[in-house]
Amino acid sequence: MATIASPGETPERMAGSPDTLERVWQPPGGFIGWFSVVNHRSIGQRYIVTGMFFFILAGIAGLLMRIQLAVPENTFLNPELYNQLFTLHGTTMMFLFAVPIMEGVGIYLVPLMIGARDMAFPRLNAFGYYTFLISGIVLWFSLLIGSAPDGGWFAYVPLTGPRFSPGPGIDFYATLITFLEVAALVAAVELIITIFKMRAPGMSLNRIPLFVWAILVMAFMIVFAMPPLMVASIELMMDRTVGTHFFNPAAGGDPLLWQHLFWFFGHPEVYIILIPGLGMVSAIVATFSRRPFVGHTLVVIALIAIGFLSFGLWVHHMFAVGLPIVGASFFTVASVMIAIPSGIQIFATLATMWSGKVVLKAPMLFVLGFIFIFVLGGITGVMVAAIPFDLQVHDTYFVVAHFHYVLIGGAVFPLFAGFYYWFPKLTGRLLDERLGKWHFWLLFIGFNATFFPMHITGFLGMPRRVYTFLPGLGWDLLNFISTAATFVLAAGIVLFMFNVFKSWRQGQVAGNNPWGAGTLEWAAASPPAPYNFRSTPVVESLEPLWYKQAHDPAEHEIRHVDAANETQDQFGLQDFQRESLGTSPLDAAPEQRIVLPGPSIIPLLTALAVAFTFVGAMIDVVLVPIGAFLVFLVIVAWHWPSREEQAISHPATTSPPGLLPTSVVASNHGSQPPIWGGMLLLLLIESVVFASLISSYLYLRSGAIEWPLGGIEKPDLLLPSINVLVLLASSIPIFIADQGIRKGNQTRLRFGLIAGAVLAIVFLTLKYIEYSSLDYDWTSNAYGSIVWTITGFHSAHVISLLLKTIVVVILAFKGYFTAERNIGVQVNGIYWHFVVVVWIPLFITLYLLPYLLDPL
Amino acid sequence: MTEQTAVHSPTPLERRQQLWLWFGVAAGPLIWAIHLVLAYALQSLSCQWQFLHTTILGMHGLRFTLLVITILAVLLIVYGGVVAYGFWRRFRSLEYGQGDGRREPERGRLPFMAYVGVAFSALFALVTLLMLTPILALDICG
Amino acid sequence: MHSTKNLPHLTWTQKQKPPYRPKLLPGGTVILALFAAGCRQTPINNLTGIPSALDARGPAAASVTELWWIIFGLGTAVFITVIGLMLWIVLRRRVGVEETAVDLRKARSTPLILWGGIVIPFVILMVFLFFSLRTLAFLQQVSAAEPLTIEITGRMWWWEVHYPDEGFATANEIHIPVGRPVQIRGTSADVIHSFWVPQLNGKQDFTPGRLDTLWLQADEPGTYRGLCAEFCGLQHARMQLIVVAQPADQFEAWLEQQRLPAPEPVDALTRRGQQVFLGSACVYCHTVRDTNATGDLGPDLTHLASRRTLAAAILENNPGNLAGWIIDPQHIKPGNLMPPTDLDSADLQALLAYLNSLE
Repeated sequence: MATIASPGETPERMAGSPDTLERVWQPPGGFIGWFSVVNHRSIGQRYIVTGMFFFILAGIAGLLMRIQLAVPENTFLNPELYNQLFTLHGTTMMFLFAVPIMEGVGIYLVPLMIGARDMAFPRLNAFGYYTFLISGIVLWFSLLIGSAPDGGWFAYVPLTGPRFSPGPGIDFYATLITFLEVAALVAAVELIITIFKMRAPGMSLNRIPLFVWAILVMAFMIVFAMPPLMVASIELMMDRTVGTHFFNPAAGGDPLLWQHLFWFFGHPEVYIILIPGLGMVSAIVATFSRRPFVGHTLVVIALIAIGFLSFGLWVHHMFAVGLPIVGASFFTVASVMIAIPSGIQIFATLATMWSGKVVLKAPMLFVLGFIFIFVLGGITGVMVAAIPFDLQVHDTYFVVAHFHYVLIGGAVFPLFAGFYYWFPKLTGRLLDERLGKWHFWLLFIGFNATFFPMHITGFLGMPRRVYTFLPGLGWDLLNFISTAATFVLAAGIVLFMFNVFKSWRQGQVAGNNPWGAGTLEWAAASPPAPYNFRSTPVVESLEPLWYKQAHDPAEHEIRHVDAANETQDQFGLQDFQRESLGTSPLDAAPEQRIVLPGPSIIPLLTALAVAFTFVGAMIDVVLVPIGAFLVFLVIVAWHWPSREEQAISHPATTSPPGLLPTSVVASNHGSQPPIWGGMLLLLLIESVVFASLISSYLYLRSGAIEWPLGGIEKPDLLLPSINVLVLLASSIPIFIADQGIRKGNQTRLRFGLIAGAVLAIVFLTLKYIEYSSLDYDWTSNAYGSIVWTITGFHSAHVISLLLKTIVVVILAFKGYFTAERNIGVQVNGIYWHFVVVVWIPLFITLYLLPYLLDPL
Repeated sequence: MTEQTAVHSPTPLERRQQLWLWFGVAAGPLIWAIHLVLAYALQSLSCQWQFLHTTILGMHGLRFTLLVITILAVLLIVYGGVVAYGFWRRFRSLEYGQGDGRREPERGRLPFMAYVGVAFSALFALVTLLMLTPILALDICG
Repeated sequence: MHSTKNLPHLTWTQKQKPPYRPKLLPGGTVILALFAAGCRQTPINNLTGIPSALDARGPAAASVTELWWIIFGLGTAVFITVIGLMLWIVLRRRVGVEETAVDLRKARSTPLILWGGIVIPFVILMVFLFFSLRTLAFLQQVSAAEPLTIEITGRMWWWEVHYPDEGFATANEIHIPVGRPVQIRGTSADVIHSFWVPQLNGKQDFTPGRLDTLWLQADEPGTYRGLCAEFCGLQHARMQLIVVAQPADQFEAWLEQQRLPAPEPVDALTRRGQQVFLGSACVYCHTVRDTNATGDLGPDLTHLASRRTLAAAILENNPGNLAGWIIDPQHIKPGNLMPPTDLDSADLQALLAYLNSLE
């Protein structure tokens, strides 16, 4: 092992001495600087603060709704406003609070827990935050102008379609949901790659802390759940703006297509929110039971199993639709069996507490509250899996009670537990313990008194989403109790905010590890230095700090990870630029020095350009291509190497002997850089998008008696088949270019890229010829809508591929790429081959299925 | 700085065996997912478009088909479990959890993966098997 | 392989509880003065009991109630056990000091996870699955040789009701014979609605472009409230209906009366009312059979006076409420299709008299 600081030295930095590392990692100051910050802790903090802000807003909306429902026939809110508020409440809680705040906590904590200095794509991280912020602001802005969406967070068509919601409200919803999904996906990619590529040496799969596992599972779920919703919300937008018929039954569309796509996202969404909560609970329970978490591996299995199973439950939101009973019952089985991994999680928590001694501090109180509420919500959750029972309570206040138990119990209580637990890491000070206990009891009692009666209200027949109700139906008293208790709940939240403001300034100073916890984040300073760890730690167990303590009692911390008097990182990370250690995905063996970008305003500009595109889609479709072009420009600016970076001798490109290669050249040294994994994830997301589009096609086909609809001819095969060959052929020169530059052959590189681009242009031209001769378009009927959309979407990919390749060609002619420095070409090639290959299933769907499925 | 080389110790598993290990880990969830989508689509479409409505071995044709593909899926998942169990027996003697991580991290990781595979197979085989209950107990197109 | 499953004590044709007598308040005695101030209507339910899913009045709802009490028992036992265990663990060895040393010995509590988290829950879940499927099989089994079929179309925000075999239409009020399964065939004319009569059966979405069926059977005479359960826009809260379950003879009599054409006006006032009605915009949206009022955007009014409610089971049907509704339907149900009617007092009186004569 490399040098370890001698005992007794404090981690304070030497005064006056220039600290290169500190300077390199320091977030910039000033107004412009604030918008240029890319450090993961700053971004994470912003996510958390913004998420809490939206939590308060949505909470106020909930409070107003409860006041309206306090007594029957109340006129406190008019029905328009009530419907807007419940839509905003749900949409905000789901999309603007729960998912972003969980991602924010992950963005803040994961690098600290895995011993990294930052995340894999810091600028992308900042971009994701601005995207989230802008869409949140625009969504709530819609309330100010009086046209907030009013179709519920689930936005069922046809109510939200152009005919029944002609106003701009649903446009806000459909646009911003799509936009927000970008933010969620970006953060998910970021988290996955960071966890797979940047864990401290020794942190093999079996030594990853449960919280990090939870974040990993959550991120993968986002990758699979969000794209179908994206497809759905884009289809809704198109129905509303350009006259497609995806959801219009009169033209061969199907309202149930929306429900399938929405719930394929919507059910995992609940677990996306829950799973990080489970991770927080696991971390806290281990610390406050003074015991390593019992059944660690079982809980890892449980988390992943929940992740998988949650995708097999979506139909249980659609039992009342009238689907075939046997098929629907398959989903009952999955819904019942998801209780097993959930049970493992709860009993592992209990087993840990049992084997240790419980320290009842505020975080632990919230954990106990979590168990109480979540178990109850889980039990009612199993109940609603029974189809006959669900048909009674579905869309009633029973379900409102159930999911508030699951979500507030499963996410908000763990989140508060996490705040009390990690607040000292964020601020260096502890939250006030006495206020914390008051906060807990107000929240716990207020919550139960609000939501428990709703189970009964639902049984008594009260449907959800009603702005008022008749007196004399037995609902009066129960509703009044719920409303009154809401104020107790709100008082708890207010007390928490007071506690945060008070403790931020005058709280008890915490020190590095106030709870005596075992995971790596507690080895860093509180708050951590901008670079987190001066020297990358090495991990030998699940709780490295405890392991250290047990095996070397003199060492109560892993000193070398934060000691300022370390002159060097033990793995040779350099100080003059932002570097973090890259390790192998499974065993976390050191492989490369990941070079990370510094502060930049471009992520903000990119977010603004993307926002322009989406908001433009709401105003006029013509603005979309303009916005897309702006996005292209900022993305080029984003990736354009600076003058220094263009120099062949740039330190990122050269690897001095004895040092690990940098991520820029790592692919030539047997390990793949983060960007490579990022590209694979992008392809995965794209695959899910295309799969959702193909599913839309198959679903519409399965409900149609004739196909193509409305007497449209079956597609002509000759020209499209030739075109497939053209597209496939375009991969060959791209492959040659890639192989060429690996050997340093510039000619092959340039020739190959240009030849590939030419073939792509031929493909697009033939496509244009084919489609301009068709006698139907996307407004003809649902068949036209789906065919034109799939083709258009794929063509847009080919166009973006062309634009991207043009940039690569320019760089190639500038001599930027070398035998060492060629990751840009490689990544471009991977994307190219993907766009080519994905056309094959699309071709089969669009051109061959009308013939193949005909006998059906 | 020299010690890093130790980390790059060659894996004790050949590439082909690694693939088998991954099969053992992933078989359960993947086959379950594919089977669920397939069975659901088949049931809905068959009842909507009236195919597979013959009688096979005294059973409704759709019921028989679903029965067969479900049993096949369960067998495949169980096979994945058997593969994972083989790896588990082979690796379980390796030190699990603690130790000098930098030297041989796989000592902990391999049994971990094998264990995960066994558990996944057990869970997902059960979930898939239980799908037989509605297939057998309910009116197949009711 | 497939066996029909029966809940031994529940069948689709048997009556079991003593007749339920709805408490009907005297509703007819309303003074005309009230509707001068038509805005002061206060909707109140005094027609039906609580639409409680647990107060089942038919075999379908009863089977679900039975399922509920079983799973409620299971759930309560699980909840009490887990929370009891948790409290016991916490209170058993609580320590107040933070500086407790960490115990790194191998924990011996893994069996707790195995039994508490896996084996016992699995057994309980299997019991749950069994009862759930048994109830489902029971619900699947309903059929009738010659079912009485009622076609219902959900509309924003009321229910259009057709008795196809009888050839008449009504709205927001379904009459069914006691003790006989009735097949409801439903669709929607606009957005998705969900038809739900908690005391008789679970809910069924009515989706445009689809035709879905649901079976209703009441084992006791009574008036049961139904509600729209799927959010369907601005007035989702105000979209309800009532189901009137009657003994066979009363039901036949009701059918008989509904089949009749609208009663002809008998006196001067109702004759004038008919003229007001037929001469106004009412006819564009409403039908009164055998007159030139043939609109189909609003409820069929042929036998309006025989119905017990107005505005989709929100208001009791009495002259005061009817007057208030006609004068300003947007007050009680903002956003509905019916515009306010501007009539002088005499015309209004006549119109009311006419509408009230449509027994």
